[in-house]
Amino acid sequence: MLSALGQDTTVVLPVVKVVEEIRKNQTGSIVVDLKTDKNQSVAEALNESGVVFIKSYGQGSLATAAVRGSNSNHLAVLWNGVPLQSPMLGLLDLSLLPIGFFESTQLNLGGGSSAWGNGAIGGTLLLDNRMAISEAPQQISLSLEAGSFDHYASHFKGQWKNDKWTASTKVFYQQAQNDFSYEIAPNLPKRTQSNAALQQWGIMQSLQYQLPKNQTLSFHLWGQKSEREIPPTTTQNSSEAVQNDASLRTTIAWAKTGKQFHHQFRTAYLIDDNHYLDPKQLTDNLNRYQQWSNEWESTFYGRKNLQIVAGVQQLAVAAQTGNYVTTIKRPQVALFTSVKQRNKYFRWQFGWRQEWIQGQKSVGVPSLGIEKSIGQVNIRAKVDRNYRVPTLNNLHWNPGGNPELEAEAGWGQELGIDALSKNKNGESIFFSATVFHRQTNNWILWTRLANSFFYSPQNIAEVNSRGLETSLNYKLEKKNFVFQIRSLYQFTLATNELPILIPRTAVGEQLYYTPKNRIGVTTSLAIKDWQIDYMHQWTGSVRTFSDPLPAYLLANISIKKEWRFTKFKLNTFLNIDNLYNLSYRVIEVRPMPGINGRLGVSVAM
Amino acid sequence: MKHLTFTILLLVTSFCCAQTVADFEDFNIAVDSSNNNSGEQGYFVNGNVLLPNIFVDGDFSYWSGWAISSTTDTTTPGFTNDLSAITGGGAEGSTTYAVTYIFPSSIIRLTNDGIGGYVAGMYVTNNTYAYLSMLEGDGFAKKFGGETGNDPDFFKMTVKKFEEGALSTNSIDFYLADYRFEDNSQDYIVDEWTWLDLSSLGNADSLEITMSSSDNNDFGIKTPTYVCVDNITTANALTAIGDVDVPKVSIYPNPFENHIQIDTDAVIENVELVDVMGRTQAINLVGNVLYLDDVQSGVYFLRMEINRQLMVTKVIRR
Repeated sequence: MLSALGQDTTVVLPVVKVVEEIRKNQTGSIVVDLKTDKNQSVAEALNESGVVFIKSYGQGSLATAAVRGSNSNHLAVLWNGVPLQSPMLGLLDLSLLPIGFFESTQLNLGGGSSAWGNGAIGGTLLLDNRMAISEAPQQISLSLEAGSFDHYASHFKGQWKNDKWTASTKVFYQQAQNDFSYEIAPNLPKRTQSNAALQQWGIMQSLQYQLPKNQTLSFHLWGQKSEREIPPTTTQNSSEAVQNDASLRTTIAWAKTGKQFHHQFRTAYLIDDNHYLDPKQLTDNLNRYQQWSNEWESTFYGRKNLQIVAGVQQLAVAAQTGNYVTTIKRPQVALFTSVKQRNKYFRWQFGWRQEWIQGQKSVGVPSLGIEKSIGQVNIRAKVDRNYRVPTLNNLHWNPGGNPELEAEAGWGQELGIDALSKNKNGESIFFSATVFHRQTNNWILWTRLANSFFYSPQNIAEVNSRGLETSLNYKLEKKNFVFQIRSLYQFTLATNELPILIPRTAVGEQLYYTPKNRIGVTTSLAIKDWQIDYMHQWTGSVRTFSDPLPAYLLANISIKKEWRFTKFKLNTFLNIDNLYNLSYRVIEVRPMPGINGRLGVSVAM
Repeated sequence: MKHLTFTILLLVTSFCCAQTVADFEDFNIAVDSSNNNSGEQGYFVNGNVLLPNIFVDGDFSYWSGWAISSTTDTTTPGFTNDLSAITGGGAEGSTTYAVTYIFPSSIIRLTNDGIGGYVAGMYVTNNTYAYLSMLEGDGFAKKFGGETGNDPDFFKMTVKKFEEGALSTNSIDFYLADYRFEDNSQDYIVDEWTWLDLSSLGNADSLEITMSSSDNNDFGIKTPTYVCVDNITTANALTAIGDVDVPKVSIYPNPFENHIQIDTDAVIENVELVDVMGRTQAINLVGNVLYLDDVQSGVYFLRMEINRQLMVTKVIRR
């Protein structure tokens, strides 16, 4: 495993955490740790990291990620090992995930189906509360911020522990009008965004109890509600649409650790409501799904650094919406295993997952990763097979649902090199380069067959994704002074390999909303208690369903100051986005704000 | 056991410019109601015109082709209001009119005394859904004029004729909306009943209506492709060609178990069975019996080419 931000490849963890690392950090692949102290969504954090393209519908609106030339429903998202993507749509709105709720937010680039199953074709996003709960210091922190477009937010975090118990409570609230002004053309007056207000609040409650004989019992509850007005497009006079999302997610886990083993059992329940209303167009759609899962996982530590994980997962979903004839239920069972070993020559990891999902052919997917270190140079390679089963909407939407759909599937390969050089003057340079390739078959698209009255999903596409990811980081570290420059460049070709009539697609055409080129540079300076980060990102042109969108440039700056006192510390921060107030679009007819900022203060005891 | 019988009487005698107006008032639809289900026969007939209609009933009903309406809602946007004319009523102060969803074309067939004649013309206008979509934009289609108000947008219907199975090359275009003017004050979206003269197309078996729009994407036209018509005026052909024997077509049983009998004196040129998704099913036509052992239970459409005319009827396998 290698972190894309230039961390050392050697990770030393307490025994209780190793089992998660085996599936979590696949040998041969690259991992991005999103460590941020900003009060932002996972979508905003991913966008700032630059490692993936975030398809955003606007300030506070739906945001999804396209990883390595894949679709937005090719990113598996797991919370404490429990899949979160909607079984109805196959994706998750990343703007609804507050990054401060998780102790660890990690993006694994590339295929991950052998470890995590359905949907992990482009990448896997792992959100974790489990890792640090027992390591967390006792503290209380409160953060308040205000910003452009009537943005207000507050975040509370409290952690408490004794010999047996550890408890953590996190609460957040935010609201904004998002009535930003935007430009249509230089010679026309600016317009003001309307019907774009949002209100969100959530709570994350975690409890852990230390049982005798190295056993732990943990409980996590995550409740969240979001009310968003849906703004009009730039070619629409007005909108009265609103969307309300509410979710309740709970997990209970038991773990036991021995000298040469670790066992874990986890049960989870999720319920998710999505309610879309448009009083003007007399539309009222309620979509609800529930998910139950149970998972047993055992890890064994053998001689010569051999680690073996084996487990079974049972999962069932039940979904309802006005366009289903009845409540749709879909059970599934999976067996998984992973073998990891490190010897004096190289490190390798083999994984296999066999999954049975009702209504689909049984899927078996392997992966094999190898890494070899020569001094400070690490060479890695991985090959894997990944899949995504049709969503419940694909299968059962009325009219149009196609129960004969097959899973999307394909092989992926990647080859990479990482090099780290340090000197005694506190300087370090880290370079990383990865080439990847993936062929996905049976890609599902909604289309209209001849003589048909409506659209329906079909397995009609094949997509060939390949590209290059490079990063070059420089760091100078002295006493009370750290200077860093992190740069990255991504080239992605994700092309359709079959001609399609509807949507009109020619062979060799780039996927929609998939930029071929992206460049990012982040400069950070930390002097004593001050920290300044300046980010510059350039995103290339993208193909849309109508005219291509031009390339755009974005620059953000963040300034922080910390004051430390005897019993508490005070932080103030200023974030300014779109520093040069440029006009740009990520999606056609969806305007984005010009320069905007947030100012805040946080106290931690 | 249900029989479906199509009977086309072709009696053409010499008349001097006799005209018949299909004004749809005979359907006696109450104000603010509509009928998009023609039942087993698969069409609406009024005056000398036959308007095909397919209605599929089930947990989610849907229709295609034509509907008869007298709804008056001129303000509600969106697809839930797709049966209203923007005028709030029929042409010339009447209450009832016809609405068609063009996907990808709609047919007006001449029948009764109109066979062999021609369509002199009809009143046309926009339906409320399409009108408000072009005027205000919605989440899917653009407000005409675009972001700046200067986009040269248009929404056009094109009428051609079928005669003896061949589609004409000449056509008549009518702009239901036109924003191509340099002077934006001249931009318009049709919001009243407008007479469309179709006489120049000449004698016809049927007319085909297609739509085109400046607002397209890779999925096709984004503007809702609806149009409302009223007072379709047909005129008899000027030359008498005498009586012609008419084929009867009788289809039974429906619903069927594993076969369908097609009784007709005419030559069946082609038979095709498609499901609701448009997929052609495997069939075996032996004489006048259609064997359908491999067809699963559900709703299908039997498409028959008889005497160079296309007939479509809904059939159900138990």
